Amino acid sequence: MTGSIQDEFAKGVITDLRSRSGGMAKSLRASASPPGSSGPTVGHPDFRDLEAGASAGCNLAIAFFDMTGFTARTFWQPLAEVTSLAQAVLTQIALVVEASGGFVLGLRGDGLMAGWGSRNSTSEIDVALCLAACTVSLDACKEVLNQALVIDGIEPIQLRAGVDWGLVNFTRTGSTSQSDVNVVGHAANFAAKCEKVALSWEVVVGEGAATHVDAPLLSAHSGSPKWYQHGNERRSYSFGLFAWFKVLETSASAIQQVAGRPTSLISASY
Amino acid sequence: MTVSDLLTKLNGRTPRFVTISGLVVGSANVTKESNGYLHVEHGRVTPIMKHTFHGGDDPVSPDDVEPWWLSTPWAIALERSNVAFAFPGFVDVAIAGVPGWVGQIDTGHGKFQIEVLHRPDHGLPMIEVLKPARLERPRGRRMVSSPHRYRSGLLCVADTIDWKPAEHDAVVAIAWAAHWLAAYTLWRANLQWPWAGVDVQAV
Repeated sequence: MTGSIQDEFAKGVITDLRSRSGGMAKSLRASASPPGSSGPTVGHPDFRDLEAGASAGCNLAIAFFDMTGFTARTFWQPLAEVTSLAQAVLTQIALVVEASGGFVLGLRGDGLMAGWGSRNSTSEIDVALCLAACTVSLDACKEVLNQALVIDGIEPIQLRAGVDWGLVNFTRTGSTSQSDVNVVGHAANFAAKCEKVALSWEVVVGEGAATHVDAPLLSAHSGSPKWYQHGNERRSYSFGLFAWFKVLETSASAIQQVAGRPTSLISASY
Repeated sequence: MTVSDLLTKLNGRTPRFVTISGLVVGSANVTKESNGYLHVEHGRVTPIMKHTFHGGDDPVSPDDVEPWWLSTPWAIALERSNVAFAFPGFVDVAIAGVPGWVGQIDTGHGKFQIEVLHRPDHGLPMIEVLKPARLERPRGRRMVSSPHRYRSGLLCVADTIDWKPAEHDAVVAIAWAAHWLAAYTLWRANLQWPWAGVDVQAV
């Protein structure tokens, strides 16, 4: 146990699960509101109201969170049970994202995509708070939540994350009646790739985000670099493991200081 | 602990800003406003972007490149306005057609007149200290020159890869120069360069 955010995370999940009593009575609070609802929704607030076909971009730190081994869970365990667990855990991750100044950009099954930054934010701060959110979420699940799950007779969960930073475009895609704001850009794609190569309890960081992290906190990933070929040109893009457990205390404190303010309102520089 | 502590932990650096007079200050008492950063005591401040002090050979600019300020005159006009906003004491100059600025940096422990000139290829700007004429201090019976300068004597305020021409302008370079000069004034006191960088003794 390393801090109150982690405690609140675990407490939130357990309370949520117990209140559901194994049912699916409540919808995921942090996810998109149902059609027609005027409640809050996921997405970047600067780009939520894009017209169909319109696009706009900014630099963003992006993280993909995923519960490892969840597919097997959905195969063996009752659907209501795994749904409740996914809802409860992702809700708490969404709260950590929000508290750290980020935005939940999308939810799919057992995964959550989030972004930090805007046209006025500072890349170092965006990446730092993105990594802080990953750190706190992984630590909360590994060190606090899993003990509580075991006590309640629930199989522990495993979490992983992929992170990168770079220019992305937000574009409203779809028909006039059904559309969503899509995030397009190498940073978004590569953060997703990082998440896929991460093992449980790992945070894999792409080159864009890694430029803001000192070498002692990064270690080489066996699959790095990724090579891209275009005509005769061949370029590499590296990725590595982020030693999140070395920044636990500072991450939790930084999130508490930010307290949900967007990163564009945070002043820091070199 | 704060966001600043997290940044320090992640990349070993402490947030710093530069006042309009050239004084380097920490992030305490700095707030972000709609038109920039404000220090409670010093007023408008400019963030010092990530950089490392270097040295060694001067960067080589290609000879046959068309100066970027000729192809994008609007960019240099915007840059002049940015410099006037961040460092109002700096004046525009053009040395043999090369756009630049001359102004004073007051580190709080010494005043320096510097000249910042762009490179035709939009590489890291050239920064020269005009006054005082020499950047050195005695060690024993001889004078030693400061580290982190190119062989030409120009200040090496950053690695060439720190400079991002699409994002940075002379405001960033002047802030780096102020940071360099703050480090220099400390080096003058004890011969130790206070902040990390690639430690190359150039001259």
